[in-house]
Amino acid sequence: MHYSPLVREHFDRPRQLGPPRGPGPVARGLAGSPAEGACILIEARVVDGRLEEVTFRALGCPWVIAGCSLAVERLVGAPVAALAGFDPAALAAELDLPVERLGRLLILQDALQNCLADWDTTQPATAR
Amino acid sequence: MTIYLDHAASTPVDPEVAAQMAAALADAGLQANPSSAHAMGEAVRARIAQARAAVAALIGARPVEIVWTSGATEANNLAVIGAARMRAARGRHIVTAASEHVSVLAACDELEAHGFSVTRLVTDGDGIVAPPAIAAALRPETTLVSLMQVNNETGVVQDVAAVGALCRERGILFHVDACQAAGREPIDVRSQAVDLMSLSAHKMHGPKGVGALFISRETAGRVEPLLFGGGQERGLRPGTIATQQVIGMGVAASLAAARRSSDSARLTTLRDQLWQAIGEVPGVYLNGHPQRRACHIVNVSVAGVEGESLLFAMREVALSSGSACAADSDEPSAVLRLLGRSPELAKSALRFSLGRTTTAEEVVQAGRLFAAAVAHLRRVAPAA
Repeated sequence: MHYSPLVREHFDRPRQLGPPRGPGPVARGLAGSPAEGACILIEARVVDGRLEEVTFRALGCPWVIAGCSLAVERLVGAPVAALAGFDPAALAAELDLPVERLGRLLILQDALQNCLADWDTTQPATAR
Repeated sequence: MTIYLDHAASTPVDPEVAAQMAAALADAGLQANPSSAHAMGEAVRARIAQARAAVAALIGARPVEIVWTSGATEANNLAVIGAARMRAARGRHIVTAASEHVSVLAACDELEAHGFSVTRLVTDGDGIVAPPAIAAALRPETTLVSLMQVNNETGVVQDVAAVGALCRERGILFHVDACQAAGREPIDVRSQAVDLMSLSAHKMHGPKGVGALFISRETAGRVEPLLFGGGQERGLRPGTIATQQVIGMGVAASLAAARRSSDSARLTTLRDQLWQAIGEVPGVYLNGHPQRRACHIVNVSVAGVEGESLLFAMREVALSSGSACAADSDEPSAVLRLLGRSPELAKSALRFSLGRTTTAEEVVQAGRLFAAAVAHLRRVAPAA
């Protein structure tokens, strides 16, 4: 299996491993299972409607780990709604992901969306 | 420098083998077709006869009982399909194990598609196919039993002599895939009552692209060829013999026979040291019988990590997650599923396989890299 230098870098030195360390409420999104080939937990600490801290934990192939690391790194500072804006196809192209593995990034998309849903359902309207 | 621990997939060519093959390639006296009647052809035949004798000696056979093939896949196909077809009038039932190499299982699938019946026995949780289970599967119309001596994924050793004896009593042909056993386990086709045995050169420090099928003298005439052409190899495997490859396999077989005891003793020590090191990591399970195993394979499953990532995290070590022949598959190993491993544990399996060039330092380093890789991936994974 060939892994690009970008995958190698984020696999060896994954950014922002969970849980978030700062104070404040945290939203969580879990998706996948070992049987599906990937299990991903996204955790986000939101301050004033922005993603102050976004972390991940992942069980999966090198593309899953690298993809999670890249995705959470880019979300920091974005509005909380950005959790729903993840584009699996764009990240797949960037990672040089084999087409048959695209489903693994859809699990990441689910985890991000579940994290947003968790924030929406658990936080009072004033905190959003 | 990568540490090579994938000898069950392929072994490095021994320098002595490489030297003799290179000399043979450059030798103008060995360029003739071995089937040619002239003196130059005779010179090539003499070298091939020498190689044939060496391969025969490795397994306690006679030279005339060795048929050259392109490798073990062809040898397994020729044995299973060739024997089953030739004996079809007598019966159309074959017994094998579900843990066999894919080249045996696929040959059985092919027979099944043409009206044969195949019993694929499951192993017990240690990877063993017990001889009584084979005896119970035999029918009056059974013509062939095929069982590997050493499993290519787990290294588990089957009791081929016991299976051979019960086949011989019943007049059933017995085929053994001995690719992983040759040069590592004792092999004697007479005392083990083996009728057909597959061998591969590149699994015993010889070149790729050449193998052999032992067909006992008593069995000759009871195997149908798969290829048709000239009358080489008594018509069982037509085609010009690959002189230099065969010479290489002969040298590899001589070395394997001469060094089997010392290689096996040394590798057993290294294998046990490796298992001791990696077995200390929590959540690591040895796959296959703890004692009945070949000297060169340690197969483990690791809880809480994903197999492909584990291989990548250990990329300073050349390893397989299972059989190299199934490396492109995303499916968990069927052999490990037979042991009762969950799909997750079967997918997290690593096969370490040692060889003649493996050093104690490499084993220590591989153990350290394994522990570091598992720790890295568990740090990244969600809490269970």
